[in-house]
Amino acid sequence: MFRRSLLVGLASVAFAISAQAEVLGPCGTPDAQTPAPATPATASAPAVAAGPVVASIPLPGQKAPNFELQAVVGEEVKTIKLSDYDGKWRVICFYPADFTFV
Amino acid sequence: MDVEVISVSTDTVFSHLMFKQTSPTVKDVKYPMASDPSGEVSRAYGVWQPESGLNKRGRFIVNPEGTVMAVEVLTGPVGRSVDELIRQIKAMQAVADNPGMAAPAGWQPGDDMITTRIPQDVGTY
Repeated sequence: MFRRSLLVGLASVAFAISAQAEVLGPCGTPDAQTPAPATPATASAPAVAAGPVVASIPLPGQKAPNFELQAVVGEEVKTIKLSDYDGKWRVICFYPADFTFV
Repeated sequence: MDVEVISVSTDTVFSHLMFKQTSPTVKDVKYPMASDPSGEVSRAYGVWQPESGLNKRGRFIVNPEGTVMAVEVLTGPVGRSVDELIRQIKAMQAVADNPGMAAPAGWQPGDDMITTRIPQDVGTY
C-alpha cells in the first residue's frame, strides 16, 4: 500500500508534468566559465585531513554528468542520453531495484 | 512544469520490462526507465553502493543548461516526497523566470517572491 502510493506518486508527477505544458521563460544565465585559481607555489598541508574515500555526488552548481543508457520507454527499449533533454528541466531519480518503491 | 523525468537503477532493461508488465502502478509510467547494470552512471552520481551493487535513492534536479540545482540522497528504506520535489522545481522555475527574485523558506507556487541581493551569477548556489 505504502509502496504503491509512492509509485503512483512518482508516476503522477510525470503525468502532471506532461499534462501541464507550461512555457518556460528565460531560465537564468548560463554558467560563466571561471578561470581556475592559480596553484600556490609552495605545497602546504591540507586544511582538512583526508577522510575515507567517499562517492562524489555532483552538488548544486556543478554540471550534471552526461550519460548514455539503455532505457525502457513505453514498451520499447531505447538508448537515451541526459543531453537528449538539454533545454528542459530534468529530474533524475536513482532507486535501488525494480519491485521496490521508487 | 514541463519537466523530463528519468529513473535509473542497476536492473537490466528486461527487469524493467517485467516490472512494467507486472506492476499496475508502473504499467503506465511514461518516463524513460534507464538501466545501469555496470553501475557506471550511478557511481558518477555518487549513489552506487559497492556492498550491494544497488543504488541509494538519489534525486537530482537539473536545469535546462545541464547544471545540478538540487540533490536529495536517502537511504534505501526511506521514501521520497513527490510534493516537495514539485515544490522545489516550481520554485526554481519561478526564480529562473524572475531574475533578482527569490522563493523564501516554505514558498509554495502562487506565493509572493522576495527580492534578493544575491547576484545572479551565483543563482545556482
